Amino acid sequence: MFESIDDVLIKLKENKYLADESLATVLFLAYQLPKPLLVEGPAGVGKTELAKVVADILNARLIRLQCYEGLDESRALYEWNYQQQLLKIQSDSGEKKSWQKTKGNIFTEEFLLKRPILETLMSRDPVVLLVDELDKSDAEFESFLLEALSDFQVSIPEIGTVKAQRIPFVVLTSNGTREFDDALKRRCLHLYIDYPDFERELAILNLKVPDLSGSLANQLTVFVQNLRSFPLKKAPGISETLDWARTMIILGSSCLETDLVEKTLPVLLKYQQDINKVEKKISSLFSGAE
Amino acid sequence: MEKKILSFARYLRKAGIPVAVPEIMDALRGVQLVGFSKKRFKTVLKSTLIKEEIDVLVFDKLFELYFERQYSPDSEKQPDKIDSAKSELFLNKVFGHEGKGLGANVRGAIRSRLALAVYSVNREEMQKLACEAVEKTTPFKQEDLHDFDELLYQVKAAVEWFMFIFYLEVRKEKGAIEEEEYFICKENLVSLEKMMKELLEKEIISQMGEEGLRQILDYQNLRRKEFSRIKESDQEKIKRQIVKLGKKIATRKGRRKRPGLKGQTDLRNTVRKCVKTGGVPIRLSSKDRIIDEPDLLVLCDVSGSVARFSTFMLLLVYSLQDRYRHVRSFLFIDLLTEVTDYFKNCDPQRAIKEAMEKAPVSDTNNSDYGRVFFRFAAQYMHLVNPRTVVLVLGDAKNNWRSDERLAFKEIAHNARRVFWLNPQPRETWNTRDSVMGAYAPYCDQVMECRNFEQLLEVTKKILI
Repeated sequence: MFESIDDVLIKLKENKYLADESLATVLFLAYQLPKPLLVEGPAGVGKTELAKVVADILNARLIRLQCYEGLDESRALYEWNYQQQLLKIQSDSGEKKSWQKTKGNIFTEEFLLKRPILETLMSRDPVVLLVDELDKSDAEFESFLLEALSDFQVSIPEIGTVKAQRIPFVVLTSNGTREFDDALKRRCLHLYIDYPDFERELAILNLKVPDLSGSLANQLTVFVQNLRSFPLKKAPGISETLDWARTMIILGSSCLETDLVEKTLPVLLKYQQDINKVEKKISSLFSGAE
Repeated sequence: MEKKILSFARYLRKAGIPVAVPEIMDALRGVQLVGFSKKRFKTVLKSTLIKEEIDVLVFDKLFELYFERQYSPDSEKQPDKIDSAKSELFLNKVFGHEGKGLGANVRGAIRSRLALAVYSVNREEMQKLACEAVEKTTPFKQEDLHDFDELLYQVKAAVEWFMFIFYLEVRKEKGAIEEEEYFICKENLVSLEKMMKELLEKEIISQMGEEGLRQILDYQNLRRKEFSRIKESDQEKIKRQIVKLGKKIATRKGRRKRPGLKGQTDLRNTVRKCVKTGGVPIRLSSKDRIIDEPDLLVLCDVSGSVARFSTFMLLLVYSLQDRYRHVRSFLFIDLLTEVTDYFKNCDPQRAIKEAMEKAPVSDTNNSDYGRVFFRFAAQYMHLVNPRTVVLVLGDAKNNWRSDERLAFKEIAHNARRVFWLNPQPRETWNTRDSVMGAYAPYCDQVMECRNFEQLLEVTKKILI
């Protein structure tokens, strides 16, 4: 339960998710109104993580629907288990049952493969539905999703309409590579998460990787913050910073040095071009805090 | 308060941001839930009403004008007063003639007041200066309103801003002014500029009423801002938006596999169908993509006046190239060059930059549409067939050279459709050296395309 914005902030922090005021406000609204929350932002700033943490806080089950190009209803909503239905028909064929009876037998919940959305709707326990990377799916799926999310019900011709037991908390994430339909945007609350500033990133680092020494954490953050001002193909997100910090702990290093950075750069940067570009200028990225 | 939020939403709509009634309801309910803490209030409105990064600038401005504009100079921390001897010295350093002290004409001049105010961080004096300067530029003329930058320039000129900057730079170069002093001045000039902007906006609104407010918002509005006026820093935003738009269109139709006559066997569907026939697969079903893919041929004028628009349009075209069988692009000023190869296996943004830098497009640096169309007809006619859509981007300013309407007619005749996008205002077509009229009859459509809003329109009409 979220009772107030401050409550949201505290609970997020308890679950090791450092949020700023605006994030908490929007989250609170999404919970109270209730409306699906559309979270946009660059990769690795904690969009998916947010959904997971919310699920933890609300004591709800997280159901995740990963989107990809070509995702369709049968993968997202439900599908009849055809193979099993066939088996059933064949095993029944000796008994000479009437068609009505057979039909009643094979179109039951037993033969229904529940996909994430149907699972969400049918769940009796509280659920957080995470529709991840919605921008990767296509427009048809978007409009289908719209229908499911606006009424929280779907109809299955053979069974009837399934209405949500309780309204789930829905989080949609997007890397912003594609624009969505106005209708979808209208139904959601919009939240844009950007890369954190120096203080917040440092705080996150301290919270998530407590073993890291203070001075090293400081150095890492300065470096990453500087790195983001570079024209890179893919700037490092918070998750990369955290990975990097953990790498430092495994390597047992206590201070950031040029050749150490050079060796561990692939943890931060995922494109060879980016790595080549940065390698030459590593030393210039150390200084200039704030 | 409800009224205020409603009219706030109305202004957003006027600025071209789609705000629907349910969203306003959300905003109202949200405000009820959250209460009126200032920062949260803003977040509530923003998250419920604004759904697109590109609109944030307008929202921020309107919010500032609407809810925040109670500028209180007292709230600022007053820094230590700098004693007059020291500031006199500074004045000497900036404006004095090599050790001779200040000339009589400098002492009372407004630039000395400016220098002193900025140097001693005297907010009252700065405010006063800004006020006076804005007063001097009033009353505003209607036609000046759409160019806020120009107005601001006038205001700055009224306090001899540029003179001061000039001296400041020169003396710093020579080492007469210390680094620290220089940066204090620079920093305070920025806050003075902010004061001026705010005052100017206030003045415009009080004089012109709603019309003025609309003009100010339009100025912030990336959707309505002319491509050629968009600041470097905002260009990235537009580019991101264009790529997004391209992706949206590219996935619009049939990226998903639909049933077709040939192609891969769709096992799931086959099994599903054989349920009907008692488990005997009688009919094989298959999936394949069937999409109508035209060829796209883009001719871009990249001369100074159109270059930026062409960049945006090329970016759009290449981010939706999946929709087309082939995309071929040409750049020209008065020389036609094919640049399709630059885009092969390459990020469109980089390719555009490279093509603009490297491709030979000009002999004289003046556009010559006639020559270009003539060359195209002679050299590349085989590319144009009934599947081809030709897109011409240009202002049709021919620099008083002769047109080649016959060549263009031939191109248009062979192509499926021809579209011309012109980044100049419609009123100026066919005036001066614009020869739009010569080519327009052969185009399926000629459209004005000067800002993002119009680009959206155009895209809807011709690219989908």
